[in-house]
Formats: sequence, C-alpha cells, structure tokens
Amino acid sequence: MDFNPNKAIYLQIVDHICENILLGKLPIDSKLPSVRELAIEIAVNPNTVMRTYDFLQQQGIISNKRGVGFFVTPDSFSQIKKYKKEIFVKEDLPQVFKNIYLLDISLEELKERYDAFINENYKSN
Amino acid sequence: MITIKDLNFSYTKNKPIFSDLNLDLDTGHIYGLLGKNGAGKSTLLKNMIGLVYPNSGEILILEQDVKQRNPSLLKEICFIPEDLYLPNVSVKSYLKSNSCFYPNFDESYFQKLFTEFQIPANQNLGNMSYGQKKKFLISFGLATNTKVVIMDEPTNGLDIPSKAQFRKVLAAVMNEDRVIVISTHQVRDLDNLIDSVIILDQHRIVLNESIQTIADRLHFKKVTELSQDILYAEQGIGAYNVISTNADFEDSKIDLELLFNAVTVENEKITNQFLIAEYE
Amino acid sequence: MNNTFDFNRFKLLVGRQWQSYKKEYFLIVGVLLAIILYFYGNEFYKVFKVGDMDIYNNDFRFRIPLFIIFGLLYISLTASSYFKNYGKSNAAIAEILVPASKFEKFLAGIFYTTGLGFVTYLLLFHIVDFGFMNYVRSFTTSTTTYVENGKEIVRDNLPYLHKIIYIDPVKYFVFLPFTINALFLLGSIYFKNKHFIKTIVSVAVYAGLCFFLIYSIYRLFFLGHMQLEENDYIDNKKLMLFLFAVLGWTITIILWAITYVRLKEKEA
Repeated sequence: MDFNPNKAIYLQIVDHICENILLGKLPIDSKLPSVRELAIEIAVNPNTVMRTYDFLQQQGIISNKRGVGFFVTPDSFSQIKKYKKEIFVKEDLPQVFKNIYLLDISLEELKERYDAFINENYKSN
Repeated sequence: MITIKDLNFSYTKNKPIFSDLNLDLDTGHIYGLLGKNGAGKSTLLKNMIGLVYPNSGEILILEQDVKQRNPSLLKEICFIPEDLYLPNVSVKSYLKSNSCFYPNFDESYFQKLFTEFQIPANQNLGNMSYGQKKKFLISFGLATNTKVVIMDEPTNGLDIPSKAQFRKVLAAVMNEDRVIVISTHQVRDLDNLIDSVIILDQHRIVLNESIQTIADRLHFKKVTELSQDILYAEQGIGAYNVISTNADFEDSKIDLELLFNAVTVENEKITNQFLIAEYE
Repeated sequence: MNNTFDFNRFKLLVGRQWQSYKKEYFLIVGVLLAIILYFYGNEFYKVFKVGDMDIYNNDFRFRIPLFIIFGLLYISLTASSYFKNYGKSNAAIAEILVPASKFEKFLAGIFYTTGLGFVTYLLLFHIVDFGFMNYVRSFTTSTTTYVENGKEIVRDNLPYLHKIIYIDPVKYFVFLPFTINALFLLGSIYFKNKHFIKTIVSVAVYAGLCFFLIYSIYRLFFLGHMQLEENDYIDNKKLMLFLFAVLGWTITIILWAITYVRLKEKEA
C-alpha cells in the first residue's frame, strides 16, 4: 500500500482495510491477516497495526475471537459507511460548503449537477 | 529492560558527551534514536551495551550491569555497528564458530534472510562490499534471537530494494520480549517502523515518547497562516509545515524531521506539551 | 550460568578464536620453519659437500643460539599478534561482544600463545633437528672419551638438540619465554597500533632502568662487602638462580594479571 504523508499511519491502514472489505477482497466473516502478518506485509510497526485493529473493533467493523484472530463482522458494510460518513461530514463537507458559499453556487444547481453525476457514473450500470 | 541512570560520559576531560542522562527502554518497542551529527548517538549505544565505560552512572540490561560484560548478558545482545568488522572467512565457517554462543540461534531463519537479502553464499566475508557485510551481519544478528537488538545506522549502505526488505524484516522480528533500538539520521527509512522516538541533544535525552503519545499531544499540519496555537513552523512550498498543540485530539501523521527540528530548536515549548498532558 | 568460567563455553571460544588466529599462526610458523630449515640446510650443504666430519669437525653449535633467539622472536611475534584485533575499534567490538567471559577470552589467548605456540615451536625445532642429526649420524660418529673420578665417560659430540638443552640449570630459566609472552600480550593490549615495536622499545627502556638500578644497589651495598667461601659457592649459586626464577615467575604472573585487567577494561 502507498502511504499518504499527512494522515496518521494507523488510520491509513484503517482505510486500506475498509476498502478491501467494500471491494469484497475481505468478505464478511473472513479472517483478517494477523497483526504480525500485516505488519510485515506493509513494513509497519506491529504496534501500529494493533492500534488499527483496536480502532476497527471499536467501530464494529471487525471483531476479535480470542485466540483465533480478527474477523470481518456481518454488519461491517454499514459500520464502514457510518464511519466514513462521519469523516466526510466532519472533514470533507466543510471544505465543500466553504467553496459552495464562496463561489455562490445555488443549491438547485448543486442538485442538478449531483443528479447528472449519479446518472452518468452509477445509474447506467 | 534497559535502564540508564545518571550517565556521565566524556572521551576527553571538559568535553562532556552526556551529563546526567537518564533513559528507560521497554520490551515490545522499536526505538528510534535521533540526534545531530556528533550528538553522541553511537556513543550512547556503545555505553548501553558496555563497549565503553561511563565516567559515572549506571547502565542495566535485564538487571545486569553492562560493564561486567557477563556472557549471560552478551548472549542476549545483538549489535550492528556502523563501522563493521568481519573476519575474512567463509559464511559457513563464520556461522559454525559464532552461532554456537547463542542458544536461540535459528539457522533456518538465517538462511531465509540470507536468501532474501541476496547475499552471495560463496564469497568470503572479508571480500564483501559494505552493504553485503551489513546485510550479512543483520541476518546473523537477528537470527541469534537475542532480547536486545541495537543497530547503529542500519540502513546506511543498503541499496533501495534492501532497505525495503530491511523494513519488512524489522517489522517481523519485533515481539513482546524484545527491545530494538535504532539510531538513524535517515528518518524516512524507518518512518513507519519505530514506535517510540528518542531525541538526543545537548548531552541529554530531550524527548522519549511513543509515536502514539506524540500524535495525541501534537498536531502536525500544513497551514497558510500562522496562529496562536502553533509551537513550531517551517516554511514549505506555498504553506507552512507546522506543529501545533492538539486540543481537538486530531490524529495526524508525525513528521519526524519536523519534530526533530522543533525539539532541538524549541525544546521547551514542545516538551511542555508532554508535561502538561501528564498532569491532566 | 557461570559468568566466569564454563568449560564448554571455553571450548567454543577456542574454536572461534582459531578461525581468526590461524592465518597469523600459520604465517609465523611458516616463516619460522623457513628460517630453521635455512640454517640447518646451510649446515647440511656443508656436511654434504665436505662429507668427512673429521675435516669439518663441527658439533653444530649454531643450534643453541638459533633455538633461543628464534624462540624468543617467535614467542614475541605470536603473543603480540593474538590480541591485535583489540587495537582496532570495529574488530574490538566484535571480540568484546562474543558471549564468553573476560577470563575465558584471556585464557584462550594464553592457550594459543603459550600452550599451542610453545608446543609447535618445540615440535618443529626438534623434528628438524632430529631429521638432520639422524642424517649426520648415519654416516659418521664422533665421541670424546675421558676419565673422571676413575670412571670412563663417553661424550657424544653429535648429540640431538633435546639432549643438550634440557640440562639442569635450564629449568631456572623456563619462566623466560613465559615472561616474554606476558610482556608482548600486554603490549598488544596496551598499545593501539605498532604494538610490537612499541613493546620492544618499552621493554628495552625498562630493562635498562632495572639493570641500572640493580647495578647501583649492588655497587652501593655489596661491592667489597660480600665474601663467598669456595664451598658455599655452588649452593649460593643455586639459591640465587632459584630466587631469580621465583622473581621471573612472579613478574610473569603480575604481567599476565595486568594484561587480564587491561583486556577486561578494553573499550571500543
């Protein structure tokens, strides 16, 4: 994985795992690589990976079966969405709002553009 | 695991390298030791394992005085110096006559590293290049499975693929029973691997904190305008790279170079952040 | 775990040290052998060419000074090369960190430079001598017969070396090679570089001083005061030699002790 210079490493690993879950590379109920395995694979301190797993567990995206390992929870999709939405609302949306305000874009125009974007990118599939 | 108490050390009189230096290192961590040229990183590592003797103070590893150089302690120490020495013998005979001193030596793990690092098997150690020697010593040292691993500028002299392999190897050898200390001035080589930062400056340890604590207390970011909560700033391209207080507990990626400069320039401003937090 | 001495660990250490020492060792032994062979070869050539021992009339006296001078040289060379790694910082680190005790490391040094070193020297010298004398004795004999206290004594004029050097008073000087060994071991630990030359120079200076001191004391107190009766002479000489040997061994042991302490405190 590639690292982003501005985001805490453990959160970058969180994103990486969430992405793999959403893409189906890590299906529901599947076992995640062990802390050690993942640490070696991406050349990161195992303590950092441990922190990632703790965080994912708190978010309800993975669960820990003692002595066995970490597993993707059945409601991981909704939990990921919840978590991502939180970040989006907290971090990205203010920027977007700021630009909408500064550039004087009306909400109607915004809705039009949004619908067009959805149509173009997702509805055709 | 490693305790340094009131260490005073100097090579020549009136030119102290360390004065009343204190340091505690625990197992389960990879410590990155940072310091300017001549700050005494190598000397501190040498003191740590009893290669040189302090003028005063005490250094203990596993509750043993390192000055004694007891075999019971030496068999738990792996040291990769910057200035390497290897006798001019074959890999095989080096292994045969040295591995026997380490009860936990793992021959198959050595072979694995040896192959991964692509060290030539049929070459005498004395004829190897610096980088090859270093990779050999790292492979041997880590295969000894000692509890203490000390490396002085380990990535110096390693080529690009070897550096990447070294990072993976290091992530793999870290465990709960081990303490790993790495001195470096190439912080980027070890960025995501060290979990604790030790900064040596002005004859003492000015910072010894885990990455997590640092990220909790300090916020690393880019800003276009400087504000009150900024502790240290450096002019970057189109913006300032800054360290500010972290009132909102935001998780940012630690920029080790920025941190190092901040600690050496604005020592108290930075270290106060850790003091205040401890009182809370 | 015994942190001072463990026989198994000592064995491992001796094995390990052999790896780094063997090159020096074979080099020194090779040079030594070449020198011995050169001197013996020279004699061999003379004997071979002249053929007749009566004309040549030689009892091969060159062997004793050769044995002593090259013995001392050999001892000093092996002793001063064993710990040479401790003079280089990076190599010293490797030596210090070997998980064996300081005492074992010191003992391994003594083992290689006296034990193995001395045995090699004696063996080499005597084998060469034995071969050479066997050759000479195969075609000639030379004996001198004389009468002493009414008994006829036959003296072999072509003896093997080992028959003539291990005579009684020599035992009083056995300490000497060990002292030389101790001196050069210490020198190699004490000096960072060029330890061989530096040791020789310091030994020369010390020896000069000691000699001067002893001579001065002798002149001050004993000259003209001592009267030895003829009968006492032999006993006194023996006593003196004995005291001399005791002093020699004491100095040797002190030097080894200092070497050990130096080795223990060597920094890298």
